[in-house]
Amino acid sequence: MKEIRKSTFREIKSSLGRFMAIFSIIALGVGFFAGLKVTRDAMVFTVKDYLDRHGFYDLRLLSTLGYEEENVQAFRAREDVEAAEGAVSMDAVFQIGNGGQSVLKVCSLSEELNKVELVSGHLPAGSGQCVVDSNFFDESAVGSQIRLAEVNDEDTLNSFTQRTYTVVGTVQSPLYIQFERGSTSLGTGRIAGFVYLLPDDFDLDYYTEVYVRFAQDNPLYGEDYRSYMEAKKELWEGFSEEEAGKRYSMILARSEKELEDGKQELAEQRAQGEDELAKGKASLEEAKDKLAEGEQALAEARQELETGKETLRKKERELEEGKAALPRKERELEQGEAELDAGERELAENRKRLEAGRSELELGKLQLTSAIAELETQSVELETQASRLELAYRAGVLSEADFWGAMAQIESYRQQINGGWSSLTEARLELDRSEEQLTLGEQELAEGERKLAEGRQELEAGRKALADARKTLSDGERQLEEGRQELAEAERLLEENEAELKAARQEVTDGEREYEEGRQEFLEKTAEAEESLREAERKIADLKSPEVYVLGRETNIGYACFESDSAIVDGIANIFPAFFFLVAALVCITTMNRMVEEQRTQIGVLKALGYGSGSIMSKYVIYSGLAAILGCVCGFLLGTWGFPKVIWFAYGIMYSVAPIDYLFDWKLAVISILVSLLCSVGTTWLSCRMELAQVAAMLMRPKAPKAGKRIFLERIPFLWRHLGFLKKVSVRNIFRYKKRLFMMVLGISGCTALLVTGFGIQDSIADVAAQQFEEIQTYDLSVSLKPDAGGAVEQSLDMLENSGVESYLRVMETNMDIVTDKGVKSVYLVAGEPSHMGEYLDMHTSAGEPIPYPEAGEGVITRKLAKQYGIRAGDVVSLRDGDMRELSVRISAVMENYIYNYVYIDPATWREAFGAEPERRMVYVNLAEGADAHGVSAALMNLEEVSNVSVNADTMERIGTMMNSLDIIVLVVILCAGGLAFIVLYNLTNINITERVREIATVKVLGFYKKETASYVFRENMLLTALAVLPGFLLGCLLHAFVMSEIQVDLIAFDVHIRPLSFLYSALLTFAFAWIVDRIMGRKLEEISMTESLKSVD
Amino acid sequence: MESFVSFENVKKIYKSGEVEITALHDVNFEIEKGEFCVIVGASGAGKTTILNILGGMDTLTEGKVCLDGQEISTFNNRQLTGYRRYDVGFVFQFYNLVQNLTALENVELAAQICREPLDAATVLEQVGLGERMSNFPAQLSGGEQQRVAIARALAKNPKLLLCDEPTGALDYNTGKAVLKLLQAACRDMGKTVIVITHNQALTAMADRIITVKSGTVVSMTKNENIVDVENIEW
Repeated sequence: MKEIRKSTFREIKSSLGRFMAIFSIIALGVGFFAGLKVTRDAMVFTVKDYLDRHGFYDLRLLSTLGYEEENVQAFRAREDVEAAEGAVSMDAVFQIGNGGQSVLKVCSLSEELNKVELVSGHLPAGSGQCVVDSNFFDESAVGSQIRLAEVNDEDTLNSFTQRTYTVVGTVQSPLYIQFERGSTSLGTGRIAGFVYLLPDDFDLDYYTEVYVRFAQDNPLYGEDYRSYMEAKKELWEGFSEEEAGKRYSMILARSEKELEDGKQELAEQRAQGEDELAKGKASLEEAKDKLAEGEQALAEARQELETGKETLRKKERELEEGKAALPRKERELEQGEAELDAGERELAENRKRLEAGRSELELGKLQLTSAIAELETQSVELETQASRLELAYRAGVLSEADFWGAMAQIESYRQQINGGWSSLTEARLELDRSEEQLTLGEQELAEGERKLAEGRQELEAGRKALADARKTLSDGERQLEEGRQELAEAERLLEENEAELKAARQEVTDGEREYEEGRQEFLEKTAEAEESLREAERKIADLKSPEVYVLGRETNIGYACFESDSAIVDGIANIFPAFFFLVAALVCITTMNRMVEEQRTQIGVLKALGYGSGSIMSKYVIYSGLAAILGCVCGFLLGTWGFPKVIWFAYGIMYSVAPIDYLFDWKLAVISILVSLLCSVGTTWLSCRMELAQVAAMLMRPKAPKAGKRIFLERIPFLWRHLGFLKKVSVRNIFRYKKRLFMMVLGISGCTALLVTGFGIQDSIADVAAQQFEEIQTYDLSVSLKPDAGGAVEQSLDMLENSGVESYLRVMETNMDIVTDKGVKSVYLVAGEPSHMGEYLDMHTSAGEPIPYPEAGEGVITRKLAKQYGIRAGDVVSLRDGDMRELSVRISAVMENYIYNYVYIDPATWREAFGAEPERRMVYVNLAEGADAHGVSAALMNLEEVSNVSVNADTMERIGTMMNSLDIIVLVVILCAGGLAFIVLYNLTNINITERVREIATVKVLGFYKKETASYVFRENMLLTALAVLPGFLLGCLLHAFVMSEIQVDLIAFDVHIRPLSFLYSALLTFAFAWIVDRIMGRKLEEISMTESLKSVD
Repeated sequence: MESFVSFENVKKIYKSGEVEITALHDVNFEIEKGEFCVIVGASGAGKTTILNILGGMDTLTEGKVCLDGQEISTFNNRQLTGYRRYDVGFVFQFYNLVQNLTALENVELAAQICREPLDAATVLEQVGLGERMSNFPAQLSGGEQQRVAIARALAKNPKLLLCDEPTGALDYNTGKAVLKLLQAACRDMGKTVIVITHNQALTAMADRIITVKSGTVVSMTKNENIVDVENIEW
């Protein structure tokens, strides 16, 4: 036995390719089976884990009156309750940053149940902070603000302590594990996201709901949980009613007390009000009196002012006159001065002349004196001379002649001197005369000077008088100015007084009015208060005993959707693995068959040596079993790890939950091992049993090679003759081994089918958005308006024509529930003008036939909705709004539609049903060719009436991106298909080659070139591939249809189709796989030694 | 006249891991054109190695092999394939017919890749299988199969017919018939025929007898006394 085991392991080593083939196909099969099977459980397990960690509720208790903390405590005390917590939630319209308005679900942060998971930022630390939906907001929203919009009704606004909240973080909520956020009666009817506040930020004195979680650990969606909850629900309906009753009586008691208080307050306020009114009246009278006084004083002051003004004017006149006289006087003065100056000049001249005269006189006197002196001298001398001559004559010295001569002379001289004397006397006379004249002149001069001095004095006096006059004038002027200022001041004062008086008059009038108003108000308020008191009284009388609702998890959208969405995977898991196991079994059977056949002789020898069948068989059983177990383990681990991961990743589009947990399922592992052992060991046993039944001698003889046979095709000589010689060989070979043919076709067609399915899934899903917006909703933008938007928006839209708005249509688009016997479903109800809708919406059937817009009383319904609820043209359906008002329409046609569910009606239908014009708060906009959609969108957002704009091209792109993650699934399918094709082709080619080693060696010896040898062998593969592709297409179509029917995504109707190109790709890929296998096997072909041809048949 | 086939100091060493096995050494012989040559030796003497080398199925380690002036020992793989294709016709011990082809098609398989093939049907008639042309190998007896194999080799119109134990799997009488056919091919068609066998008896009908022992040629004799096939006994 030891030897047999040794031989087994050697066998594995030497024929690793074969071993690997069994290993791989089992791994692939098990991987696919276990991976897909475990995926749903792993998904559910992950979600359960997530929900448990976040304290997801079991029961949600609602009452029309809400609950109070006391009620919550009572709930908490019930049996099996793990936790009970009151919470607040309400819908409100928010202004988000500078963008549009959206309806958000506002919830209170809880401590135990439905705990949020922080994605970014932090949880609110104080009032005015909030955390928001990480699906709707991205991380950049942290730090921004959201504001309660004015459109919210009073009650809503009053439920919050703040108007503006700062976003401090983004979160995921276990209440919303799916992308769907539900519908609302506000705004567009769709909740865009949620926001969590601290409980204290709600200004409410009650909880809108109470969440309860039980201490139980039943699996999610299981029957155990369902029955457990059914029992609980029944019980809790009673509890809820009890608590709601308590709440009711509490409210009643409180209201009555409030009413009493209100009445008392009213009485007090009335008294106070009346008092105030009386006071007001008194003060008004007083003010009136004061006003009259003031008016009189003002009149007096005005009189005074007039008098002052008159005086001023007189003074002004006088001053003007004085001013006019001044220049004349000045001129006179100037003239006098000039005369004075001339007199002075004359006087000076006279003086000069007088002085010259006097100096002449002095000179004359001097000359006279000197002339006298000289004459005296001369007379002395003459006497002297005469004396001397007498002496000299007497002395006789001198002749008497001489003496007498001399005496004659002297006598002449004496004569002369006497003549001198007389002229001198005359000169003196003259001198005296002129002196007299001079003195006279001098006297005159002195007189003139005196007169001049007098004139000058007079002038000075005149000047002084002028200066005085001037001063007086300027003084007068100053006084005048002062007077004027005083007057102005007085005037201003007067005006002020007048204004004051006017104001006072106004005040009095105002006061009168106010008083009147106050009185009116007082009356009104009193009436109002009385009315509200009466209202309160009525309310107390009307206060109905509350209704209660006990809701389970199935009413949570995310929870409910996840059940059906996760079931898809299970559906797929049922068909794919079966197919893979079939192929695996076939691969095992052919492989082991071949192996046993190859080892006939050895088996014979062992048998001849006396080994029992069991021990001989054990080698093959161990061989295949080992391959299967190893493959199973590998496949199981990889499959159960990889598939859930990949599929969970794809689900990530819709669900935001934690990464998937690895789930090891013992039951599944055991099943996998059993099935793979059945595939391998079972088939081995079958193969061996046949051989072992033969006797040893027979076994040791070579088995006759399978005889050649003519094939059917040869009976059609026309075709057969046209085939090349080597092709004939290939064709004949193909049909020689039926089992292999079948398996090859099955394997390869399976591969093609998988590829077609993969591509088909992509085709059916990826185009949905494009088709929706290119073929059906052909408008470019949809604009939602604020509730109070009037007609002004139309003018604004008309103005935008230049920026690219070609046309627009205002329609009503609102959320309603369609009510059918198969269930209730939320849909969009659209009512637009029938004559224009065609420009924005291309209504057609799935076959492409156009549908006319419904007339009054009719409706057109979308395909998926019709299919889901079995609605057909001619049926009457009813639609219900949030206030339970109903609308019935007869369905005129079912239209093609891919995204969301719509019902289209004529506005007249709405009018008839509700007696009111539909509220057209949605505008469809068509843009001109080449217009910038985002530019127009931005312009529209700036309009006051616009709350939101969505660009269809953007939506298309967004959905397109979302769908791109499906590529992963397609890739997985393609990889699996490749794996399948590869294993099948490799295995069969391997068998084919080992079986035909001699033939191939012979062909080589005959001189076939490498390529010729390869094509001699592989042409069969290619032919078989070609043969398998067609059934593969067929199989692919079926598989695709099946998979698509299993994938049901709410709100999206897939366009189930496969593009011709996808068939082409699938075929090409299949051929590519075959070609790759051929290339790999080509190497093996080369390695075949020609000496094999010399060996005997073994 | 230069010899048609010549082996000069041919040496062949097989290596498997560390072990070296000398299959042939110092092999020298010549065969002339149109001769019927028998290479005889016991199992493991090296005759199959000679056949492999001569048939272009294996390479040699040392020495020189020529056929009709071509030095085969220098050929690369592709040239060797061409050589097998155009110059050599093989007859195997176990016929090596393609099971999935009829007798005619088996002949055609070889003929269609040659330059100047003989007509397949004619050759089959020549080997006496005119009636069984459209039969599959499984429907033919061993002798008939071998005759198809010979026809296949002849149809290629090769320079050399190499036969590996052509009678090894046949009974006595059938074997004789086959040998006759080979002899006829040599005599009537002028082919050079080399038969490799362990059967000493066959040497009697050969023109040239080459005896191989322990990896080398021990004797090469021209048979002066050719015996007719009919008279050979074994």
